[in-house]
Amino acid sequence: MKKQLISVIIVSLVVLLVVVSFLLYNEWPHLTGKKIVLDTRPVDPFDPLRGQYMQINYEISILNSTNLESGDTVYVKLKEDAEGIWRLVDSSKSRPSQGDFIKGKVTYIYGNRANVEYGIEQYFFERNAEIPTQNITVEVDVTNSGRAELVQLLQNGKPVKIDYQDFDIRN
Amino acid sequence: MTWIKNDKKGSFFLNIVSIIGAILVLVGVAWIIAYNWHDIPDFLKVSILVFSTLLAFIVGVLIRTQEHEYIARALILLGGGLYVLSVFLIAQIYSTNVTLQGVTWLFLFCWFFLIFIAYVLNSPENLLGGIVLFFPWLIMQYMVTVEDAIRDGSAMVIIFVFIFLTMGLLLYGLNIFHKAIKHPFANLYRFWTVFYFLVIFYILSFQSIQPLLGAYEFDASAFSLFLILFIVISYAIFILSILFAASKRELNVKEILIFIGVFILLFILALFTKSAAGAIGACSPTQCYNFEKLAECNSAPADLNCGWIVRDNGVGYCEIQNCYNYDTESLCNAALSTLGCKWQSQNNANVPNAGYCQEFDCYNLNESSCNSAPSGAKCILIGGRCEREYKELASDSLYNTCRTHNNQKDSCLSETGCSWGAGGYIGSIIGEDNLMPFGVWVLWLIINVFFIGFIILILWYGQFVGSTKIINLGLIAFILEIISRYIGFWMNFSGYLAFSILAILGGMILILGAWLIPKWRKNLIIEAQQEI
Repeated sequence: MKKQLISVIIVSLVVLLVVVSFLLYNEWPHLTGKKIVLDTRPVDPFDPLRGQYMQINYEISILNSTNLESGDTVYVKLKEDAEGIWRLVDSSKSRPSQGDFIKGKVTYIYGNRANVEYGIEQYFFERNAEIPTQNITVEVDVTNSGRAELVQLLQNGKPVKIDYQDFDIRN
Repeated sequence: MTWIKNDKKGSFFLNIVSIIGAILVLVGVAWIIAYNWHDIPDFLKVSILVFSTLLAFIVGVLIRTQEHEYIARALILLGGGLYVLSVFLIAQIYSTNVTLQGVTWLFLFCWFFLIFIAYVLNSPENLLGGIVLFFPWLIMQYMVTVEDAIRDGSAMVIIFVFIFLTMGLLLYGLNIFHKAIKHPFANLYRFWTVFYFLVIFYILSFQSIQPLLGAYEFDASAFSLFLILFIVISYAIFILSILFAASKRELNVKEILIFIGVFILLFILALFTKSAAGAIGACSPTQCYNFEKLAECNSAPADLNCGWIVRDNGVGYCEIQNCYNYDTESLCNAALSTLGCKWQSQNNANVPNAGYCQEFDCYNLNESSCNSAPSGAKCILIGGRCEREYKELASDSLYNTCRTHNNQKDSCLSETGCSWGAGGYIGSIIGEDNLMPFGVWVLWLIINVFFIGFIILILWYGQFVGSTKIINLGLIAFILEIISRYIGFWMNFSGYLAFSILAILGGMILILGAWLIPKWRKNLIIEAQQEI
């Protein structure tokens, strides 16, 4: 009995440790990061375990490919414009010593364009909910190291209004 | 005595029922997570799931002390499943990456912890879950590490057979180790070793897969550090387990030798599929990609419209010229007269002149715009609709002539305008009447004979170690093999004659063997006793 009690305590502690660590890892940019808003070009797919999500391409998803190769880590320096959107100032393979920047990875090169992902290219929402796709920007928290976490979608600068279907057990 | 038997059967039935119950609950929760109800706040969703996970573990362990073993196991399985769902729920809430690497990380969190639970709470069901999740994780992580090789086509299908084989080796090593320490999980590892080897044999037994496997040229880029590490760790576990079992005097040398024999046999058979790659293939009209050198490409027949395109990796390819080949505005516009291309600008502040080259869009033009479209755009009015002019290529009409030479390399090459594409062209095998080359047919036959032999070995092994699960697995593999071959003959040869002859001959050999072997064994025993 005592041995089994110890076993279940160990498992429970490890479950809590893993879950809390995973939560904290994802929460960290929200706790410590700086809020920025990025311009988007979204599309909508579906994930079998996590449900419906919006696939988001950003203005900064495409960079000039000079000196970049597929698989490179790239640091994108950003500056806020008059509309409150954070836009590209410069990009480099080395981490900037100052200024606001976001970290991404080059996925492929096409001509003079480098396609870059930042880990914030998806936003999950309720199945069958209707979400607007015009004039969407995204609020993001970015840590000092450039790691980003998506906060919310904005439409015309305000939190996006999602239309949900009424609950129906037959649905 | 009868009531004990009935009680055992009843417990087994209850075990199945409780496991089904646990799985049903998991499926229900998974669907709720996928539905992603906005009415439930994120924090509450995670709390409910984590609390349920812990509750399932605690109640499971408490019930086990009350000697309701099967219900306890079902609850611990439920706890493991809820943990997996918690990981995916958090990933959903934080919209974590949906790229292959992003999903691979989630799988790693899941299988690793399920195996941990299995050992700490003595839960074979969670070990099974861990092993089931481990394999897709392994394949996905490998694919992430060879992404470039997949993109440039140097990745090999045969590598997956070697990954399966190494996985079997790892499981067998773990089986030896657990047997040596008399751990109850030894049987589970043994079962899965058998399962993996049966799967490899089953994959190899398909004649349509053999040329796919055989189309390999060993390329260093397909051997990522991850794959090498996995192979090294698996071999190390296998060897160390043998040494450990030997030190504990728990080593069954005969069984290990048989295992190594089967391992080597499968390895050789997989490599031998190379012989199928050259002999099987599609005969099709010569296309641009059949010209591998710049000079050949430039002198290709004009109507093929070939062009030498140098990709980002610096390697040149002969390709049908189409608009997407041109990645700058000037090159694209220059191709207007030949291909009807138009540069589509992308509004992107970061890249000056960003865009892509595409075919001139005739379909959205009205009548007058259609008539005034540039001549290179090849827009014509058909029934009042603006469409793109289609000119049939000479290669289109050659298609039917060439395909009659599928799987016949020499006659294909002697036909003007046809080219031979060796390797895994499944369409050339399934649904067409062309006979398989004799060498490939023999290889296929050998692999299937070995497969039947392996199934018999497994049935014997199951009886030898007293495992009904292994015997059932062997029988399922046998039924699957027969059904697959029956359907295979119907699809590939449009007839059953060869199947009938092979089945009758094979069956008679087995019946004769079953009659003669016990006699032979009996004589051997009598001779051995006389010698004593």
